[in-house]
Amino acid sequence: MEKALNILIVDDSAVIRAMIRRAVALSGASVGAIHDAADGHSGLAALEAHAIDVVFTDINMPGMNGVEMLREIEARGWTHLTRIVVSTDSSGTRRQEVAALGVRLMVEKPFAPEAIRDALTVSQ
Amino acid sequence: MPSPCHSSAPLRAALVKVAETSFFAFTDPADPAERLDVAEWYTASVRFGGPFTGTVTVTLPVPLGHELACAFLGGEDVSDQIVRDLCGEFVNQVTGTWLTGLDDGVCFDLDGPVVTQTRARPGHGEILRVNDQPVIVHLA
Repeated sequence: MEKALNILIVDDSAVIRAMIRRAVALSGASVGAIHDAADGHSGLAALEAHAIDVVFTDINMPGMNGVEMLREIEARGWTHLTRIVVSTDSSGTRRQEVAALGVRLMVEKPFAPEAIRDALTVSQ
Repeated sequence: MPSPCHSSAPLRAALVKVAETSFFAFTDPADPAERLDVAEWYTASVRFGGPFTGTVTVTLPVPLGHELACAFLGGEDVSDQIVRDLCGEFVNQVTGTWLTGLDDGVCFDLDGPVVTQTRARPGHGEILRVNDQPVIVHLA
């Protein structure tokens, strides 16, 4: 039996958080709790408070952005986390930057809901 | 890297891609002389910085904003706040898609989107039709 994945969604856009939440729920993946946060600081707080398996994060956010949050995740040694970037910024340079921070997958905005399902499938 | 402001085609293509992929909308070219008889508009802008800087603005009719929000979230009843947030996400995705397509080797930083509601007729920009309603995209 597959382990139910606890998910964290970090994006400053409430509609994107809602859309990813909906895509996750419809993905057919075994999902436990879904948490969300509007920036990197809140994302780190959620990671401290909950046992998260997969984090979806945007890059461009006010306050602490996604790259800064990923750096902090690396610094804290949270290597068990599957890190998935969901961003409009999918340039080769950005992909290299986040790959060095443990990001296994990148979903490029605009995306169809199936892209979230596919990313979760790979995570499991 | 020089600013590509001389060509609006890539920005127009980015808007089409975002509208059709993320928002399940239909896009068509518009008559340049199209009459913009719309009572109220959302104007959503994003400033970006990197090898060059600028602001992308997308202006769309208020009813279209609600229509896109319902399509995006799969519901029938969305609040005005959610629609504004969606308009911001729309221009954010258009800007990011356009910039990523310009040069794979550079990164840009995008500020948070600013969304306003207005009765004023939009100024300059490229006009497209999204779900048979006018949408104006402008780069400054």
